[in-house]
Amino acid sequence: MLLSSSSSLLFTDSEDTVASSSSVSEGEEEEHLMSLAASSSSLPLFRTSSIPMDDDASNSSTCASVRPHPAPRSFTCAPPTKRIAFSSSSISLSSSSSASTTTSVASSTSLPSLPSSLLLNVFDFVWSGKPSYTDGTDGRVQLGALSLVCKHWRELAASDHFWRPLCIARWPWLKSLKTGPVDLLPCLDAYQGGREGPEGGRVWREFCLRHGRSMRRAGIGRRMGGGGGGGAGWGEEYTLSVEIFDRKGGFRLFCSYGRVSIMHQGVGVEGRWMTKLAVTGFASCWHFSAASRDSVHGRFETIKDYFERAHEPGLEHCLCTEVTAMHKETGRMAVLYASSKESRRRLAGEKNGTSYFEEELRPAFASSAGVMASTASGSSNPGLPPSLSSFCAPSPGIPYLAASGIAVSKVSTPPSTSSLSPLPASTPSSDEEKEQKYRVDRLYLIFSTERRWDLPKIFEGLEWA
Amino acid sequence: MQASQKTSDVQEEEGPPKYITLQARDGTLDEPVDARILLPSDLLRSMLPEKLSEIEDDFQIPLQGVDKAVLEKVVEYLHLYREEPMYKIEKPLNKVKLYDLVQPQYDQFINALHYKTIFQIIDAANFLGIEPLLSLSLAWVAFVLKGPTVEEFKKLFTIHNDFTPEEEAIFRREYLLPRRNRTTSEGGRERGASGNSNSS
Repeated sequence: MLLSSSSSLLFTDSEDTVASSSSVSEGEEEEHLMSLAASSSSLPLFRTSSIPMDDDASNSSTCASVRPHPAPRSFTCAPPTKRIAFSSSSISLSSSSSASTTTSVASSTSLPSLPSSLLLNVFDFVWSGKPSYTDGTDGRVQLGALSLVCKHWRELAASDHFWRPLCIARWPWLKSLKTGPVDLLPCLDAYQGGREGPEGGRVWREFCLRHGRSMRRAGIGRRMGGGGGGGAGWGEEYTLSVEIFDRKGGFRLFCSYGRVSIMHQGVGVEGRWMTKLAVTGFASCWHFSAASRDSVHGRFETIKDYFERAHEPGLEHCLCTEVTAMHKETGRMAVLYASSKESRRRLAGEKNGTSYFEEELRPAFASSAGVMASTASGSSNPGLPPSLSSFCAPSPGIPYLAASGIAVSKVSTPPSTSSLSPLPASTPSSDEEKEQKYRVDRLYLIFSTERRWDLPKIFEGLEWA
Repeated sequence: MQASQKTSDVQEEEGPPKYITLQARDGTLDEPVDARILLPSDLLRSMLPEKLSEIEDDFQIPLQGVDKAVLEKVVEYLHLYREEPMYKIEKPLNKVKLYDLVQPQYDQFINALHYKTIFQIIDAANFLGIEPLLSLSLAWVAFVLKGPTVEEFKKLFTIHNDFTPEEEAIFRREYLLPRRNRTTSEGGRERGASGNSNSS
């Protein structure tokens, strides 16, 4: 009964009392729950409190009147054992009474006073054990919720027992590390502006929290305002990182990291407002050929073919673009654009709405006339090479249209001499074309929208995590 | 469970059942229990002689750690277990209800109890070393844990809030949970609102 009623409590406003928030549940269950809540509040709980009390913490509590006798207890995070810490061999008939004094049976009617090993067992049941991005069973969020209950639980939920599998599920290469990602943390410290070190050496948790960037919508976007106006100085406080990768095998065609720069803003095709963003700064790209993209079957004839057909079902390639904005001071990140559905989901947690732009990037050379026209106007801009571009097609129902352009250039031999040679008009023979090396030369983001874009507002409105 | 039975020296034998009187802290159980049902408990098994047939007629086990009412429930569970062993509950729980994980009688058994009793049973099962009962009751707790938000949960079980507000804000930010006053739907509305203001 309680189970069914408690499940209906999910996502109700947490400020309400239990009784009022259970109004979403049906009548009978509600009654039961209310009686439960009433009876529980009258209980003399916390007989064996595991928590050193703070004076200023007690005033807000509902059960300040039943302040317990402080009974110190060790909070060591014992690794959870299948069998509970109890050796049956050492217990004889005579010692059973002495055992009863230590285990305090019959008096611990509250959850927090359960022994740590038992609590860890409960956590094991609750915890999904994986960082799930698609549904509500993200292990990190679950642990986060558990750790907010009280200090003791926070200690327990920080255990490596939980965080190591989470990290490994997310970053499988960490599995080879025996001691945990200790060595990686200093780099992260430098990167994130020196936050305090991991508490109690809980390296796995720290790593997961710092590195898993968008766990859930944090709703701190408001705080980041104050850019104001979108003037010349805007964009100084943000950096943008752009990655394009082939979904199959995760091959990164291009990655770039640096300041945001607005390359072009103005009225584009069909009266739409066009904003072209680019990243100025470090960029790295990899040479690739059509053959290398499907080395087993060799199904891509040319690189053009690859861009055209890679998204088709069965081929399982897809060009994914992820654009992440980072605030320099706080180190907060937000997804500006994630092209594929999967990566959006992965970044956004269970909700699909973190990035502003919802369309799938469909790599296509000639997807529609409108987009190709915007390509043309894009390439008329100096500094943009004539390109093989891939765009997502505009969909009429959505106010914001996203498009990202990828400029691909052929690598001539030797690759260093001329990097931006346009494609030859005459197509060479198939094998040559397959082996011909290309690289993604530059990625620029073109957002074609119906009205003028206020970039600072857009950035403020992102879900910063 | 199987592993612990292997290590046990107690042998179950054919023959007339031997009855044992269990003494709880506040009184003796009304009916003596069959010694064979006690075998899932590590503690009780260690207290029994190696051969159950050697049990004397007035064999008594004092269990000072357990209340009588709780012990009765434990014995009830052991009877159920003797009839049909419970399915092992896998971690993590991937079902929505306990009913989907164990046989109906066990679901009935645990749901008929008051939650205070369940915490007592957890302690008793831990004390007596009855692993299936322990996992059943812990799974019950876990199902309760899965439902409500943190605040509701604290109220439900009257857990003392021992964080200072500053600490709590830090921890919330750390795990990036939604802040207290905001629900997910509210966040969605705000986002929509900012989107409108952008386009105007």
